[in-house]
Amino acid sequence: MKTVAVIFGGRSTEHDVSIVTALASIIKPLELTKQYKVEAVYISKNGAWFWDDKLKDITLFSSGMIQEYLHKTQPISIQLDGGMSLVKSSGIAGRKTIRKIDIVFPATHGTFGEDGSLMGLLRMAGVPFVGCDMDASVLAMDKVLAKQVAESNNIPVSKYQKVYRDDFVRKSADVLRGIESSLNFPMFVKPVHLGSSIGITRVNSTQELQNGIEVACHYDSKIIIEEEVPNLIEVTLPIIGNDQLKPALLEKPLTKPEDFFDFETKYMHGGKGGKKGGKGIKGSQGYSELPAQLDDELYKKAEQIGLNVYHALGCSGIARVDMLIDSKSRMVYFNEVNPLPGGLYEHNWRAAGVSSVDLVQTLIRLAEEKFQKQQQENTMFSTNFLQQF
Amino acid sequence: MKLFSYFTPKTPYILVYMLQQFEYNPSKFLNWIFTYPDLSNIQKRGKLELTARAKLMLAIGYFIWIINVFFVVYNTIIMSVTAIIGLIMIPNIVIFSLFISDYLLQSVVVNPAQNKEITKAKQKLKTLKGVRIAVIGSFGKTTMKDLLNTVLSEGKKVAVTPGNKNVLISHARWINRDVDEDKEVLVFEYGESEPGDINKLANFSKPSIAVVTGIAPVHMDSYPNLNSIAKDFACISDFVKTEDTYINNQELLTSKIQGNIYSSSNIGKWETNNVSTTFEGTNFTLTNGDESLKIHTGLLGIHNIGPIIAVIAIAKKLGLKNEQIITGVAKTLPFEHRMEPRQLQGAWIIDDTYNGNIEGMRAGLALLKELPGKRKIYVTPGLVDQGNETDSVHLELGNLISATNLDKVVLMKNSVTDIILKGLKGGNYSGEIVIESNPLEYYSNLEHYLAAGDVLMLQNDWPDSYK
Repeated sequence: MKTVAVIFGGRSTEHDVSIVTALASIIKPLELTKQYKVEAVYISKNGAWFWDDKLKDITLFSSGMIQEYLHKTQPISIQLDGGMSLVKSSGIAGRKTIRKIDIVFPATHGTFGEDGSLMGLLRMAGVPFVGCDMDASVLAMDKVLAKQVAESNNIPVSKYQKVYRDDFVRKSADVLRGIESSLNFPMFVKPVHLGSSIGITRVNSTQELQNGIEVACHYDSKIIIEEEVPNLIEVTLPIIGNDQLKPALLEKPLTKPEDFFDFETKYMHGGKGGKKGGKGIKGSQGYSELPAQLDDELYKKAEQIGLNVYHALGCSGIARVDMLIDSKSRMVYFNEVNPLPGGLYEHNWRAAGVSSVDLVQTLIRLAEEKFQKQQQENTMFSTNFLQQF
Repeated sequence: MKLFSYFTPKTPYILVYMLQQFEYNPSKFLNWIFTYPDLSNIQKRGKLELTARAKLMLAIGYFIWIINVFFVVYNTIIMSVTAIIGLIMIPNIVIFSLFISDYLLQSVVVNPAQNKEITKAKQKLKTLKGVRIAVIGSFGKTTMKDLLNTVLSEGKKVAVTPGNKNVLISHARWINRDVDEDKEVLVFEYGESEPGDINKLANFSKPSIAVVTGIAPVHMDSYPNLNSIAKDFACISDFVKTEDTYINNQELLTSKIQGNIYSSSNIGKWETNNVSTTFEGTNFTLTNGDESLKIHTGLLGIHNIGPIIAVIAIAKKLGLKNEQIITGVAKTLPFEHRMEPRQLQGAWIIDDTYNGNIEGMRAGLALLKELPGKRKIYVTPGLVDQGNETDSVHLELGNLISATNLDKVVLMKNSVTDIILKGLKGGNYSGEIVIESNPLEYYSNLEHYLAAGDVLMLQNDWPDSYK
């Protein structure tokens, strides 16, 4: 039986979302397959790693008992031994528990987890892992880089500007003037590297723009300002696959542009219409229309753009592509990519005919296939260089 | 591990739970314990119901257990070798104490009280004027009883035996406590667990109409063969006239019992056509010459048409109008755990966990084949109480599954799993096979296994009292 380590938590503003993704959408269905030994590896907010079956219990986190647990428990270490092993000290006579990991299933959202950092570590360790590789994660988690890659692949993107925190601090008036000269209100101000809609503001005036950038600078050193797409239909498309891609259903969040998906809307109340119910499905991101009610032509156009983006950014395993549609001009713009969708977007996959158990099994298979392919690539080159010394 | 399971503090609790599973029948309990079961594998499907009798048995069990533990501890302290003997004897003494207590309780308290109840009910029955209908069969009894209740209630005051209460004492309690004199129809469900049961029940209720719903190999530990069950059913002819007897069209039944034969295609001159089944129910037209009735029922599957037209015939005999009959049948809905459809996040689940015979399995698989679905999944542990027929029944089940073209079969692991697998292999089944060792975990996590468009059928459950 192969051992799968599910890594979650992490030094990210999306720490809590990651816990739910790991426990509800990954560990539970993985254990139900009865084909894997599943190890829960939790990274605390200060970056310490813990490995324990107790960490599979959501009540440890929801009750706040996690603080007491962290206080009492020794962090573990990672052994890079031509692969990856978890090492736990028993505290008695130097005895250690070592568990060799066959596959890693990252469930960390945002910084140090979804942005390529963890993937870099796992590549170094030489262990297969689920989801996008390091380079695709880096691109996907930088909203500016992602748009630049899309543009270079002839994929339409909405008008945008980037701002560095240092530039804004030194010469905010110039920065604001520059933005207003190339973009029209209303605009969206976003931290470049954050997901789950944290730090995002919709702005309608210079003052709001300034405030919005200040808020975003609190989270990131690089800010993106995007012009709002008129007659907006916001859609998102989860996709799985390495070379052969399989899209789930195009999903449309049931929110108005003025109450766009902020963190509260997405995760805290099941959507702003959540308590009232209404049409659509309640997924990890509140109420949405699933599948999005678009005419066939527009649906296929958006789906194809989603697949093109996934391919252009070099995504693998799983990712979710967000797009913006101008319903009058019927233009579809790429917005951003989420290389690890919250809860794997399992509600959407289920509606598309893929059960949670099948989804995690497929992702493990894709991870192994990607790893095997990488193993065939030659990374060594023999030279006489050292013999000169 | 198995031996260790007899020495845990939970042992008395598990033993009382199993006593309850055997309806406090001391000999069945003793037969079970002689098979030396692993107690750690018990209670995967249910929990002990804390009735007064269960509490009493628990008190006895734990009292004996604690005394024994004290005895062992004391002898350990005084370093006596008796401690080892005491330790070995703990489970035996607890089992023996529970058996004796149960036996005494049954003989001294329960049986005399039940005899008194039955005598009182017999007296009351003499004063009741309602038409009495007996429902007999290896399967489909509860469905037939509920159909009769729903349809006949459109024109008559009807009383039916509650739930699965189909033994003499439960009939007597029902008559004494729940049946009023104004009831025009009394429906009795007859349970058969050993030869002579049907005669005993008919002697008590003295029916004037009888429905024999079907015969299948159930309770084969008590009946030597299917013929002996049919013979038991046939004794109903001593009480009910031929023209008032309704029989499911199975050769073994119709060769032994005279009466009106019904099937999904006809009863007498009444014939069915335009049959269709969806997740919302079944539709058909019932025609006799120029007379035609358009019927809709919430029950799923063609196999329900036979029982429905038998009920229509009885309703007509009792004087109900066609409108009343159509309205009554339209009100019939799937019964709990019997081909009961429910939706789960876009998937359909057909809960048929109360199905416990091969004919029901056949009907369920036919329904699964007929219903539309992206993926079709079939979940079963197989059947209990099949006696000498165990191998042939489960080979047949494997063949039936193979012929249904399913995407996935989930078998709950037990003593018949290998036989079903052999049947699947023989039937060249090509879909996925999953062997599940923890049924409760599987049932309570269905949402993780299913996706929109799937149809999953759960057939039968495997009681803890079987290996």
